[in-house]
Amino acid sequence: MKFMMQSCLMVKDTVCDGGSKILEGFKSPLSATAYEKCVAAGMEFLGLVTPFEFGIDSLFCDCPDKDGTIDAILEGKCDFVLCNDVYGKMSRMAAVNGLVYLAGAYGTVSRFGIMQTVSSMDRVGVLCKKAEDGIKVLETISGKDEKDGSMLDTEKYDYSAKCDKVKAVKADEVEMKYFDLLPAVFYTLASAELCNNTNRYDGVKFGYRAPDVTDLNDLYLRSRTEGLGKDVQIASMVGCMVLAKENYEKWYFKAMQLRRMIRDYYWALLTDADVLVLDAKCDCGDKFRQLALYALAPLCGFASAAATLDGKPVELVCKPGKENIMFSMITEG
Amino acid sequence: MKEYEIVMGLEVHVELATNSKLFCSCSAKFGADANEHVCPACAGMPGMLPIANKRAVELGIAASIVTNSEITPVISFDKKNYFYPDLSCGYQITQLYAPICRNGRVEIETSKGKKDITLKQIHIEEDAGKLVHSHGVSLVDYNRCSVPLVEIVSNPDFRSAEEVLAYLEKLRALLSFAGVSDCKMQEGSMRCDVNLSVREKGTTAFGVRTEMKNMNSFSAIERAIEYEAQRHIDALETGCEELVQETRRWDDNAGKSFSMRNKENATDYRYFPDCDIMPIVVTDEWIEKVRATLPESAHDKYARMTGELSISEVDAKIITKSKRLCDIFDALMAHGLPVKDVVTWIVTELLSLDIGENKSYDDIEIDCDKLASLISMTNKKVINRTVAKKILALVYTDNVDPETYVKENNLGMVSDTGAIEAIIAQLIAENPNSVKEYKEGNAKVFTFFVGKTMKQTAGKADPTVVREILARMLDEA
Repeated sequence: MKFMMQSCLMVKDTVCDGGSKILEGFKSPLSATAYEKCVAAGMEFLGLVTPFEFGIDSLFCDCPDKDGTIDAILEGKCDFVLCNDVYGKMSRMAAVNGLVYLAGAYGTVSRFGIMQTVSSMDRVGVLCKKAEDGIKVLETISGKDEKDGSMLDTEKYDYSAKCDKVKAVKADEVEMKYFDLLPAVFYTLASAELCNNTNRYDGVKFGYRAPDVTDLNDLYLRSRTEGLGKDVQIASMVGCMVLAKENYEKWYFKAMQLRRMIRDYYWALLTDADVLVLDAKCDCGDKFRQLALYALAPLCGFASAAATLDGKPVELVCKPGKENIMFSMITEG
Repeated sequence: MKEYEIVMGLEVHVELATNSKLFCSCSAKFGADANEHVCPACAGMPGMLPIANKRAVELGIAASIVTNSEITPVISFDKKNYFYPDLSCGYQITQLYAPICRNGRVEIETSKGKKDITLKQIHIEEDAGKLVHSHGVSLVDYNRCSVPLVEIVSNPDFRSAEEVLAYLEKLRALLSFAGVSDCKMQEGSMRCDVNLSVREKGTTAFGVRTEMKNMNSFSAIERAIEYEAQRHIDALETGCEELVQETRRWDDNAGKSFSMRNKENATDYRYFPDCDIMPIVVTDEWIEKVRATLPESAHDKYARMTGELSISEVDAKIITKSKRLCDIFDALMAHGLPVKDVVTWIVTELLSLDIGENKSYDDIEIDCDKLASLISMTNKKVINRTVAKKILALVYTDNVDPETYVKENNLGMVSDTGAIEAIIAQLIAENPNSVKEYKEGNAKVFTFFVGKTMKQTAGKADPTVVREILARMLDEA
C-alpha cells in the first residue's frame, strides 16, 4: 500500500511544518513511530500533505467539506493518509465524502512524532477508501511504544475478528447526557493543552523568527503573532484564560471534573451497548455545536470510525477492546 | 528602637546525581561544551514525549527518607508555563498537586542548641538551560535544560542566618551522603532562595516578605540575609522605603539586593497537570528498597568512627562533615592501613593541602591508591614524613606515583646509622660553642643540630633515629 501523511506527523530529515508558518522550513530530527511501522511493514511513503494548522480545525472561519488530505484519497494519489484529528474535522469530511476515517482508542497508537496539539486527545488516525484497508493499517501502527509513556500495555492489536451480533445504539435512542456541555468541556481542555503545547514555538530555537526584532518581548510577540494562525492564537488566549490562577478552579478544573463524569457515563453506556452511532454532518449551522458530535471519542478515549452506514454519513464510537465489533459494522461480507 | 525578629523560609534546589536528564536520555553531567548534551526532547522540538527517569524518582524518594518526610503514595507531574529562552519548551515540568513528599523535618544544631526545621514539601522538577550574554548577543546553552532537581521547601521556621547556614550544612550532609546530589554550590548543583520578613519580637503576624535569589555561596547567603533584614528593619523604623512583596536579586559584589519583579507584575505560571506523564505509584516495597540501598549516613559514620574505630570526636566530626573525606577514609581503610594513620593523614596532611580558592574539601580529587601507598611507605620507614608531605602535594597536583617518584629522585630514607654518625661527629667538631651551650642546658641547640643533620642528609634521614644518635653523641662529646 502507498501512503501519505499530514505534515503534523513527522519524518526524519524532511521539512515538516504541520501546516504552520511558525515551522517554516523546519527539518524534522525524528520520524513518527506510526510512520516507522508502516515503512517497516513494506508500505510505500509518497510524501506529506498540508493540513489545517497542526491538524486542528478552524472554528472561526468557513471550512469547505473537503481539503487536500481528502483530495489525496479521492484523486487516488495514495491508498491511505495518516492524520491527527482531535477536532473531528477529518472524520466529518471523510464521512460526507464517502470515505472512511478510523482512529484507535487513546493509548493504542504511539503519539511519538506527532506535533502535539492536545496531548490528552492526540490520536493517529487513518483516512482511506475501504474500511478493510484502514483496519490493516491500524493493526500495523498500533501497539506499545516505549517512547510514549501514556500507552496501553498491549503489544499487538488484532481487529480482524468479525462480529455478527452487534449491539449498536443511535444517539436518538439513548439519553445523550451532558451532550450540550461537550463543546464547552472539549474547547476548554483542548485550548489549555494547545496553548501549552504551542509555547515551544517562540522564534528562539527553530522555525519562523520575525525579522528585525528589537528585544526579547518583541521577538516572542511578533514571531508568534506572525507565525501562528488565528485559531491557534485564539485557543492560546482561551487556554491562558482558563488556566489563569483565578480561573483555574472554575474553568479548567471544572472541565476536568465534567470530563470524568462524561467519560464515566458513556463508558457505562458503551459497556451496555457496543457501538454508539452518531450522525456525521459537515455543517450543522453552529460550528461550536458541531464539535459536540465529534468530542466524545477524544474526551473519553474511545475508538472511532467515520464511514457511510445505510447510505448515511455517520461516526461510530466504542470502548477500547471493542474495535473489532465496531469495525464489523462497516466492513463487507 | 523596637526589637525585631527575622522570619525566613528557604527554597533549596538540589540537582539530582543521575546520569541522564529527567525526561530524556541525554547526559546530565556538568561541564560539557555548550549544547553538547542536547536532543530533540530537551531542545523542545515537537513530536517528542517525556519519559520519566526512574532513578530521579528514586533519588527523590531517598531525599524524602533522609528528611523524615511523608512520601506521597501516587505522585504526578504538572506543567508550569512561562516564556524565557532558557526554557526550551516554554514550560517547565514540575510537581504541584502531588509532590514526592510533604511534612518533612530536619534537625539542626546552632550555638543556641538543637532545633527542628519543618519542611512543607519536596518536589521533583527539571532545571532550565543557561543564557550566556556576550558582545551584545545572547546565546543559549541547553546542557542543563531538563537536568533533574528536587526543590526542598521549608516552612518559615528560621530566625537567624546561623540557623539558615546550619540547615544548609545539614541538608548538604544528608543529601550528599545519601548519594542524592553532590550539592556543589559553586557548580550550581545546590541553590538557595531565601524568603525573608521581619516583625516586632513577640508578635505573630508575618511582615511583608521578599524573596532573594542568586546567592552562590554560604558566605553570600549570610551577607544577603544580614543586608536584607537590615533593609526591612530600616524601612519599618524610618519609613524611608515602603516594603513590597517582591523577588530580589542579591549582588554579592555590590553587597546589596535589587528588585527583580514585584507582586503586581508577578508571573502567573498557569500550572496544570502534565498528561504525557502517567501518575507514578510509589509503593511501600519501592520505598523500602530505596531505604535498604541508602549508603551509610554521616550520622551513622560518625557513630561508627567514634565507636568501634575509637576515633576522637573532634576528628570524626571533621571527616564526617564532607562526603568526599569519608569516601577517602573508607578507601584508605580498605587498604588495611591503621585507623590512627588514616585519620592523621586526612585531618592533618590532606586538610593542609593548598586546594585553591573557592574550593571545598568536597572537591578534593586524589588517587586513593597512591595516597595509600604513600602512607604505607611512610609507615615502613621507606621515606620520612617531610618527604612524604612533599610527595602528597605532588600526588594531588600532578597525580605522581609515590613509589616511582621516590625511586627516581632517590628520596629513600637514609637508614645507615654509620653515615648519620659520621655527619653528627663532623657537626660536633665544627660547632664546639654550640656543644658547650647544649651542655649548659640550652635545649634549643639540640633542634639546631637536628636541623643541620637533616639538611646534610637532604632531608632523607629518619628524624627519630637522628634524635637518638644525636642525644647519645652530644652526651658523649
